[in-house]
Amino acid sequence: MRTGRLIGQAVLAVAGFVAVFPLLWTALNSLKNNVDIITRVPRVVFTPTLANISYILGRDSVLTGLYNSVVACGCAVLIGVVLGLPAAYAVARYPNRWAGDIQFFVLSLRFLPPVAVAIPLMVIWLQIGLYDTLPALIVTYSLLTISVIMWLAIPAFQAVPKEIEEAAFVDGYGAYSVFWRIALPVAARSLAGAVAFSFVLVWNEFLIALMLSSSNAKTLPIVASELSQQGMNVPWGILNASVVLLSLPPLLFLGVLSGFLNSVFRQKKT
Amino acid sequence: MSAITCSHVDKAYGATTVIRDLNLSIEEHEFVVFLGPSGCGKSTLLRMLAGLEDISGGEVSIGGKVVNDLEPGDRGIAMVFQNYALYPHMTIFDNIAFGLRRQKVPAPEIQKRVGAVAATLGLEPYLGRKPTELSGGQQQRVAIARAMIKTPKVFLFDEPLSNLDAKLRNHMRVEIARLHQSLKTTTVYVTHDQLEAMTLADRIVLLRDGVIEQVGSPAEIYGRPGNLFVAGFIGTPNMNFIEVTPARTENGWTLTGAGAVLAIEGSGFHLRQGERAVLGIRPPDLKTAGAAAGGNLLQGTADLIEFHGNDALVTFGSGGKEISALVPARECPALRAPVRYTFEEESIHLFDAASGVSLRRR
Repeated sequence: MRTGRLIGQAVLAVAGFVAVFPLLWTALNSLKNNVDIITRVPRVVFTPTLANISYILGRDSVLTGLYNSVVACGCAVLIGVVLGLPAAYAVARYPNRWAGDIQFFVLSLRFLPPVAVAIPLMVIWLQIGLYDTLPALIVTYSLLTISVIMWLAIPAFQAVPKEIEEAAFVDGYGAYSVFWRIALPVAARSLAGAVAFSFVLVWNEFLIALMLSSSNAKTLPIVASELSQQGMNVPWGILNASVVLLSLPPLLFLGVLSGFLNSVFRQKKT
Repeated sequence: MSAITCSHVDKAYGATTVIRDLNLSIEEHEFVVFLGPSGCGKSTLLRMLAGLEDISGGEVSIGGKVVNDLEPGDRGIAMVFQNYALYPHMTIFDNIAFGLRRQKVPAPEIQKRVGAVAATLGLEPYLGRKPTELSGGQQQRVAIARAMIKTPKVFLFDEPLSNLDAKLRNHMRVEIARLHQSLKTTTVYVTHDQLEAMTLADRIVLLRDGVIEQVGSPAEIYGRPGNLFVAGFIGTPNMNFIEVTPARTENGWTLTGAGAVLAIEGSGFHLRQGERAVLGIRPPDLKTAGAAAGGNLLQGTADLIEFHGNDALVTFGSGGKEISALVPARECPALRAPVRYTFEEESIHLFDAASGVSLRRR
């Protein structure tokens, strides 16, 4: 029993190390000079420098990319929430003849390789004249967020006991009030997970952003990838710094979200 | 004026009919229990009264107003659900006040009314807590408080006690009975537990396969069951059924079956010569007969004895038929001993063997 526990903890520790170490190493490397990075023996002790980070933050392309990413992903997630959650609730609670087909269609958007979606979309946006603009990116990303949020929110709404909603009907509330006052707050925990997941998905999205932008609407992942193509030497420190910058917003978003959830669900002490 | 009237009510899901041409009227202040085996449509009927299920045909009126197309909130009803259905994200206070907020009752009055209801049900210490911090019995009390506060015309209870353990169930049953005594609100209560039905009901509506089998007071249903199904469903231990052939004699009838010939006067029943009937007799109505006793006897060898405390249930075979008798524990025979039981004619029931309908003269 005791040894079993020890082995379990050891396995967990190794797995945790494997997961966290690359992130830590990336964060450390973003503070190193190139000399400290490309040594044979990895250096843990070194003279830290903020040069990489200030270089990154000093570049207009990075700031534009950050702005584009925040706006595109933020708006797309917002649209996904506003349209996807009510749609998911309708499918979960008022299923009709097509409810199954709707669910499958929503999922099928994710079956397709992104390229299959991106090329036709590129043509469409070019024709409309919105190619390489934020609105095009927002609308395209909304397709992703709506489908992901719907797909994850349908089971979340179905998990809300039906009697609770019926009790609210008996208490005199209509379908919309029941959605707002009962279904949403009761399912909030799982729904927040769905929203966070959809945010991370579009934040990290690369291929569609690459095909739908040429200069104005580049998102941060595109800008970061371009950093490695400058000059002869790969600027490792700068790359690592850009990765750190790229990782921060989703982490912040998740942190704020989970903090919010904790405060909502903390049991009241009387 | 009756509080609830159902006339020719049907309920169908696609091609399956769950409730067929149901007619029922419930008086004001009455406590009516819908009783029946699972799947008999009793919960569906209750949900139709509540407005949570569509009514496929017929008319339901509550307080003299047809409610077929009214939303649940506009029907003047309050409902208590089997699994309590409390709003998990709200405090107990908010749970109870939720319905009043909808009615735009001013905040001070909400405060006052919630306080009063909470006092009645002993919920004051819990008003600030969330439902998950309460025990099952307390949660059910909150559900009842939530129903009470709206001062509805009709209370609907959907198997409210079946999630509680046996002891708590007895306790809550008494509380519900007391509550009805003091509030006198018309109540419809669904259960599959006949003890709950017998103890709580003014009238029992016994349902099977979406059809009313019998409506009557608990004493009527128990004492004068209208057909074989009702007779078999009500009463623990179950009624004994013996197929008999009636034959006319000079001063009455004889019933032959299960290895016995029983002589009865028979004027209370519509018996017909030679037309097969089913004799029903409840185990507690069988009395131990002395060795010398004559009259109507059912006898055999005791092959199963179940000790109940005060009583013992003796099961014996007679003419290939298992018969049970509930006798005082001190009269309990030894296993495999010969036993003889007799009965009074007033305690027997007779049913038509083909249709199952009671042969009792009304």
